[in-house]
Amino acid sequence: MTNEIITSHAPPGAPAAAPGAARRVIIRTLHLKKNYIKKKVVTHALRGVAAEIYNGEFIAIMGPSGSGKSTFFNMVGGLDSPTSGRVFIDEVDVAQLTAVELAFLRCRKIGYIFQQFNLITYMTALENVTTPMAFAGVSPDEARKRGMELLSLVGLAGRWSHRPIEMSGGQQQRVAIARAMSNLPSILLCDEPTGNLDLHTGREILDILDRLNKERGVTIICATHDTRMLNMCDRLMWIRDGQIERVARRAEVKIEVGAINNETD
Amino acid sequence: MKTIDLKNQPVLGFWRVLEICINGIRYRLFRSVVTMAVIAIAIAFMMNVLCEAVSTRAIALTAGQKTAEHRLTMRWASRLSAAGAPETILRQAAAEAPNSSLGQELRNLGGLSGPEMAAYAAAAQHAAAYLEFFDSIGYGQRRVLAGSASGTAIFDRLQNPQQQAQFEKSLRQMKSVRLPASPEEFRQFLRTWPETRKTTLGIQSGWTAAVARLSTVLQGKPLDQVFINSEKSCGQIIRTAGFCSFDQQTEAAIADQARQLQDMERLENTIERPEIRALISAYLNILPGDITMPTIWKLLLNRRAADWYLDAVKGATKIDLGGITPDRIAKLARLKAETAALDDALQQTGETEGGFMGIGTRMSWLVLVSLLVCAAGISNAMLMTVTERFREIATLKCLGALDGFIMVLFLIEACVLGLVGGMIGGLLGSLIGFSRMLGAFGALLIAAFPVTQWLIAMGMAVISGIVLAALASVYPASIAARLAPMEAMRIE
Repeated sequence: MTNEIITSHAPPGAPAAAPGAARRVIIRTLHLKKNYIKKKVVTHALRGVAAEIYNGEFIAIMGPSGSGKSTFFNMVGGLDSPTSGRVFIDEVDVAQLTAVELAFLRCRKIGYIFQQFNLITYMTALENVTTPMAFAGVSPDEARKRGMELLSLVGLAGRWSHRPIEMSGGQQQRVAIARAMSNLPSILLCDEPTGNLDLHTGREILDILDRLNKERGVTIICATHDTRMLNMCDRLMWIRDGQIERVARRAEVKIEVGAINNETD
Repeated sequence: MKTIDLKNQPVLGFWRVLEICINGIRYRLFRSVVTMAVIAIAIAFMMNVLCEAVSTRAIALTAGQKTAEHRLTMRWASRLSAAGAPETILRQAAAEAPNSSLGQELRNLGGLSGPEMAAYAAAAQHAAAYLEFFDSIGYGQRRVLAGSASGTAIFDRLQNPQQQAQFEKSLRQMKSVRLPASPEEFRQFLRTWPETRKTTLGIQSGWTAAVARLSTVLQGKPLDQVFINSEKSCGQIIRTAGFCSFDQQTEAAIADQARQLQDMERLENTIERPEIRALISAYLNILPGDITMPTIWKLLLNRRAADWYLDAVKGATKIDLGGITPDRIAKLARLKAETAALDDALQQTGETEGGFMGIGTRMSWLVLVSLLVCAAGISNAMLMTVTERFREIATLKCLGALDGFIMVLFLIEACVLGLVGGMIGGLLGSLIGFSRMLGAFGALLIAAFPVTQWLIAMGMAVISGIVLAALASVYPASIAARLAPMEAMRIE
């Protein structure tokens, strides 16, 4: 079967940094398939994806809409369960987890950043940031302290008492990043973080993500259409028709798709 | 394969969840207020019905008691003028303890010893229960069970073994009729009935003899006459005749009432006089033909008018009203007004309904239906809230919220709405209910105000508001709890 061939091929693109030291795989998918059945029509969203994502990596996932990018994203984030195949997050099989364990995983291992920011509208910036800490059992005082630190990290310490509607889109997304970081996750999952922002504020968000990746070693998985992402990510993954079309390191991409880059810039 | 290093997911404290809820409610204030208003209206209707039922009952009870006090003289007059029927004697013996004053009196009238009286009281209790039973069943059923007999005559009739067998057979066939005791107990009672009957008749004849003794002493004068003339020893005379429950207190109350009645009568007699009528018509500026007794009494409520009236009577006629002062007149007028109000209240509250807290079956149905409609409204509103908040809920789940937390979040929100709605509705309903009752019964409601019952009803209103909101929100909350976290990714 064609699927067999695809799944058996090893993920291209070696670990980007730290030559010599083999980097730990933090997310691994095996034979990942997902079918959606609606009114007896089966849609094959993923047709067997095998991917490895390394600890501390900044990986950009690209693909046209309907390519299965979002489905892959949901699987990797532990938000949805595959039809067949497996997802290992930090060597733990997600399919084996109970609902409580999944909640635990989402709470402490993964931080989510959404295109629409998804801040809780009736909470202040600080409350938004401290809510995941409350779920993780951090005491209110400690949560407050850590929340303020995170807000100053994204440059919004002065606006902790503002509600989302009182902030610009870029500021909201910065609060969302602070919230995603609140339980110090090892993975940040970003779904088109700059999709709703103008060029300038998008730049700021990307800088923050880059800093988190470089300074704190957070693994960042970023679904994006933003070509500026190419300059800061370690690897790029293209998904098309439910399969990984191509995985490449940034250096290779620079050379190979230089022409495309020129067009879009 | 590694397993996840799971620390316990902490359960968020109640106050923290409440805080989040209240924040949310404040943010969506308009929708929350509408939901609360729906709850409040339904609860207000329920509370209104409850308040009216509760106060009607309390008023009927108070009015009944007060009327009984007013009719003390009448009751005693009949008790002292003729012996009671066997049924009356049995009921009194059953209702009163053997050592109470009334029990003592029955014992004296029947010439019974202490143990005899105790045995008789016990038998009377059974008899009273069976009498109650035969009174409560319908005429047709009684006809089948006991023929044309009624009262104690039924027990006499069932002494016949043939009749008794017939009775038991008929009773077995009637599914809807239940004796207050087992058939064996009833048979036992019938065996002892001749004895009980003999004692009852003994008490009755003793009573008749006492009445005869009394009328000899009083020379046939009516009771109130005796008291008005205030023969000092008349209480003693009655007690000596055998009615030992006629104590000093009763004597004083009856004397007082007799005097009041007499004064009223004397006043009313003066009003009949044409010259007085003319004066009143001039004073009130109405036609003499329009003057009725109630108008006069209403006028006399005013002390100055009473003063005037007394002078008028003295001036126009040479009638001496004796010791009647203006204060006395005003007091009598108040008494008259009170009696009229009591009669009115008794008439209006006459048919108090049965059922829960006296609501009545039909009203209960109406309340139930209104609560159901309200539940549908809340459910709908909560469903819309949940749909509106899909993204928020999914985001919370992405941040690590458990299903239970989401469920609790929505249920607590519903409970808060229910609590506030229930309290507002309860207060609103009581306000409407009691102000209506106040308009109808006035001071009598204040005298009979059912505080405890009202507090119970209020508690019920709040609790049913909370329960209603919580129950109506179970389905929307479970939808919210089951929502997949990936909904947060969806872009509208």
